[in-house]
Amino acid sequence: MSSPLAPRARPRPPGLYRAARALRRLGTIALVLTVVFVAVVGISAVQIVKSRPQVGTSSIALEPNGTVGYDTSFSLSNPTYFAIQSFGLQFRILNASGGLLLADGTPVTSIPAGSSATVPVTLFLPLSAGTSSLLTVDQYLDWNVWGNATYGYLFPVSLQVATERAWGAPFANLTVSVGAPVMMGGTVEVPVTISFSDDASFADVGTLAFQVVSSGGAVCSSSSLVLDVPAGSPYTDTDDVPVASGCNPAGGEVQSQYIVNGASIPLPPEAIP
Amino acid sequence: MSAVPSPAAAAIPRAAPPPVTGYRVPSLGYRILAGGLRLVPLIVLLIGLPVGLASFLAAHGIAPPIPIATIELFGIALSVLITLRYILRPTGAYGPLAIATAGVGLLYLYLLLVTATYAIAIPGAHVTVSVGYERLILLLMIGPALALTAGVLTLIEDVSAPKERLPFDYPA
Repeated sequence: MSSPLAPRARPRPPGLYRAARALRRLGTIALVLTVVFVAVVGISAVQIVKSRPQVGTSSIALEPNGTVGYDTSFSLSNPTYFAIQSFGLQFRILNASGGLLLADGTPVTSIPAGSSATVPVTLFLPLSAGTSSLLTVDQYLDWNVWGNATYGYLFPVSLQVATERAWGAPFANLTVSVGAPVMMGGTVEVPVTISFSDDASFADVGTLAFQVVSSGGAVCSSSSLVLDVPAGSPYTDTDDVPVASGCNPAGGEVQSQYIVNGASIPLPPEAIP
Repeated sequence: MSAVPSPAAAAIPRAAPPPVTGYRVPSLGYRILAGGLRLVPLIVLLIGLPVGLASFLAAHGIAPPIPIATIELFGIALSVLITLRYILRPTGAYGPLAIATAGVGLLYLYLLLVTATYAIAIPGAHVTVSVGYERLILLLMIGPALALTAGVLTLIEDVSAPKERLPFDYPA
């Protein structure tokens, strides 16, 4: 029971006043919370950069599916309180003639707060696009790599790195020349000279099969060479191959295949003058 | 056994608390002085820091998301409006000024929203970093939107019952 001597109760403000005041306070609280949250996210993002994302060791090889396989990995540590969401890498690779070799990416994943993740990267580059073959032409490839993620629930972030990477062809400057036919013990043989340089980062270990084809499309002769050419080494060899009777290789071409790991990878044909 | 009220207490009628009629509005000179002092941090926050950051980026070959002149224009407009709103708070101009301040703030944020993906090409490094901040701007718009609504309510209150809020804004 209130006493007449007790302090007078403060009157309640009108409804409109109270509503306006509550809205102003809510707005201020929302602003302050947003600013504090953004500051914490910013500080956390610096921790990710400091944790030094790393690209693992890479390997390149000719694959049985007739492509160049590129394997590597990308490691990212997230020592913060926010998950890295929708993280993925996208690749776009062009060859020297501007042909699109690859437009692909890694599966999208999330890296929870306080954890690390290693994303495997496996790319298969077709051997040719446009006029430039990765098998026989040393060239610079245009690599565009995007790393995409959402951090702190609010910020989609994309990091694009554009580089030119030198590509060394495993059969650089391949030439196949056919000499004049000679009679050897009752059969006609032609000397076929094959030369190239293995400018790739891997050895050419396999079999080089070739066929001498006439201008009419008939196979005059065929043979094969066993290859074990270390990376960075030149190669030249001549093989005398018998020619089928009545078959004239002049004006035809030499078709060759590199056989490795059970796969047959065709090399560009060489015309016979 | 129930208590029997004394005759004196029973004689006093129970009534609602009387409305507050006393208030003390600071003088116009005081409000101008205080408003001027408040202008200093406002200029630092709304003009100095953003323009400094944009100039720093521009000096390093990185274009800011919106022109520096736009940042200056909105910074000046917001600083002036916030100061005027403070000075004229006891008057009927407070509601419209609150609406105008929130509206300019929303317009400023909208300009940032339409360019809410900011790409920074790091000179000489063939690296481009893009950051989207659309959701951040939308969150920041909550404050001015609420302030705009509050301004409308205050305007309605000032029109329907002038000076009704003064005892609560400036209690004696």
